[in-house]
Amino acid sequence: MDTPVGLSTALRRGTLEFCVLALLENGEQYSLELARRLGSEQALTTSEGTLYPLLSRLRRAGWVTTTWQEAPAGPPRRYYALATSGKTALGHFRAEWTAFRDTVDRIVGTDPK
Amino acid sequence: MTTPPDTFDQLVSDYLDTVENASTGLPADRRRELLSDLRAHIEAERAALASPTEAAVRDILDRLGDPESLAAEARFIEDPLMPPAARSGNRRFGVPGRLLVALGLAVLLFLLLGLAVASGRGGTHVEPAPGNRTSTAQPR
Repeated sequence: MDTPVGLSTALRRGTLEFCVLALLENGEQYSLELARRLGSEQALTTSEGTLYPLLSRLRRAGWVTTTWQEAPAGPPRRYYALATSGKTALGHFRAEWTAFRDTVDRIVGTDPK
Repeated sequence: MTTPPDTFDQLVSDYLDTVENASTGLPADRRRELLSDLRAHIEAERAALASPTEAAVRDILDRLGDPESLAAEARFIEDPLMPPAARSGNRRFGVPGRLLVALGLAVLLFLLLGLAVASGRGGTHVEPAPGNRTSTAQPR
């Protein structure tokens, strides 16, 4: 019997990667910081660990670049930066998202009156 | 009371083992990559702990998330079009496994069929009931 995917999971898939890209817009981020930041957002229902397969895919897609940097204490840290193709993808998402979100809000009745 | 660090290492390796077992549906290199990323995350968090306690380590693992969910997410990202049922768990059997099961069923059916045919041809030897013997003398 298929376990149905929860609503929040379905909504998150397809949008979380663009949240990651947006967080990189103002400069590179340490992977742990990305995991903590997004993992702590209640409504995104994502645990810190789920960021890693996502970051892996973003790397493969070439939307982010990574560098390893020495840390004051502990193992070297992986930093993520937005690549040009990632910046373009983020721009497309913003256009798609606002149109989609506005339409759903209107139909479902959650649009600001 | 000081708890030896080995206890925490065991907690961590148990957690990573559970993730590994839950991700058998992932290609080997993806699975290795995920485990490596999680291990690095855990070690970085532990290094940043002011006071390493069991509660603190457990909190790190809790925030990382439930192993099954992590594995499921990794599998989804790997192949968004795969149906969830095929995606979870038993993918290790795959096509060869299913072929084997089909073959086994076919053999079983064949055997049953063979048994049915054999019993039909040989005839079941039935002893005639005592009362059926023709006899000139009628019992009184």
